[in-house]
Amino acid sequence: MARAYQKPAYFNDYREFIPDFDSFLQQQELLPPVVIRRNPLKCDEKSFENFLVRRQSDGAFASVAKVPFVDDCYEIAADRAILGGMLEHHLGLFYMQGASSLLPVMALNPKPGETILDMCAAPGGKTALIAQAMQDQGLLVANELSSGRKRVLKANLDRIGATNVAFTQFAGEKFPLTTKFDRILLDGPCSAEGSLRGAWSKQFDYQRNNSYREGLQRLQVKLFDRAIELLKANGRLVYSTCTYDPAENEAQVDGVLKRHPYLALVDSEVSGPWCDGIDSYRDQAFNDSVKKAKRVYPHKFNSWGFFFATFIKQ
Amino acid sequence: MIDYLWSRFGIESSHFDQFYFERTKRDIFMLPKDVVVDVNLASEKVGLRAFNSDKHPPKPTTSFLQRFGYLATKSVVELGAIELFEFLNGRTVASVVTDIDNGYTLVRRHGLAVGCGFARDGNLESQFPIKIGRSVSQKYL
Repeated sequence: MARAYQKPAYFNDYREFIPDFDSFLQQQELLPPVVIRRNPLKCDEKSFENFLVRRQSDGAFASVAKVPFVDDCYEIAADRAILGGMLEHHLGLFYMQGASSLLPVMALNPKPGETILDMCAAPGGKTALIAQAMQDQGLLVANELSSGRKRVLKANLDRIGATNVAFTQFAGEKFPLTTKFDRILLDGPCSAEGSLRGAWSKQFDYQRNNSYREGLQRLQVKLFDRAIELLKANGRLVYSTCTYDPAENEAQVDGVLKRHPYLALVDSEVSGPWCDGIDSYRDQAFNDSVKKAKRVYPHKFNSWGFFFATFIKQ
Repeated sequence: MIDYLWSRFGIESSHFDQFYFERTKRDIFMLPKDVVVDVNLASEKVGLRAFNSDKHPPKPTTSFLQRFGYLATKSVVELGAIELFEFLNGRTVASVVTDIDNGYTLVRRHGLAVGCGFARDGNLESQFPIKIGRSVSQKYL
């Protein structure tokens, strides 16, 4: 049961690097907007426009506004439950998704005909976007360790109408090395601070202790190293999280650059009001190039908080 | 499959040039021709489950029709809200397909492909998955 959001002292550690920190905290207290993304595999722009107009005229949507910086996304003034029960949702015409979660896939820039791995794929919003960009050409491997989450993943991809997805169920850090990939999305487990907006639930535990966090960080290191092994030469890897914690973001990027010197951090070429990765935190200084990573804050872009970094394996 | 899609639904074969159909014991999957799956990875069938092959003729799945049904030019019925509600809840809708030969039929609403019914003597028997149908809100059909 969600309860009213309480301004946490929790984020105070981030005051030193989050710009306009008070605005950030104010925005954190507001629920993020409801955003839907058109599914181009099933619905062209004209039909989608008709749907949006129809739903405004029958009163289901109080208003509709295009979301800037991301394609095919619309902010809808309507209850999530109404959208979730709508016929068009069940038909797969659209997918409900935080707008910022599209950014890692935009940075990945998937192409038709490629072999692509989504290493921690559930619930499938980013996987669906990759499948749509591939236009039924090439192979998309959607990996998810948890059986329950994999069921959700499959149902979502089925609803989207993807034809080129292979579902696998490996621990990401032990993913078989028998196939090499052109592109890999590593949107792994994280402390999910970016999803803490407006309300919080029992799933988010303010008391998450250091051993929980250290466990997550160790897993992120293992996933990162396996992803690099799985990547073809000149392949592209995007690492993303929905958290603000530098230990799960810049420190991971800095660490992987040290362990894998043939890996280059590159500009993501996704334009928008994102902030650069930070160059230091507490007593730790990061590699200069870490600034090429991007931080997404809700007071700059009204969505979930996010972090993404793009690499090329040389 | 391609011939059946043409003869029953009027869907031209060229739309499926980039796909091939693969039969399993109960189903027929469709997947892109260029897909090669490492046997070490695939634990289950790759692709979109397109037909139930244990029926004669094979029944197009809801997933397939929702994806490719917009291409159909015949054996199609557009339902109103009340009739669609009946259809989504697994019930037979009387006298809505009097001009369609007996057989699988695509159901549309607002021009959008919804799923599969079976036309029998002018009535439409629902083939829509009831579990999904019941989770669709009646208010905004």
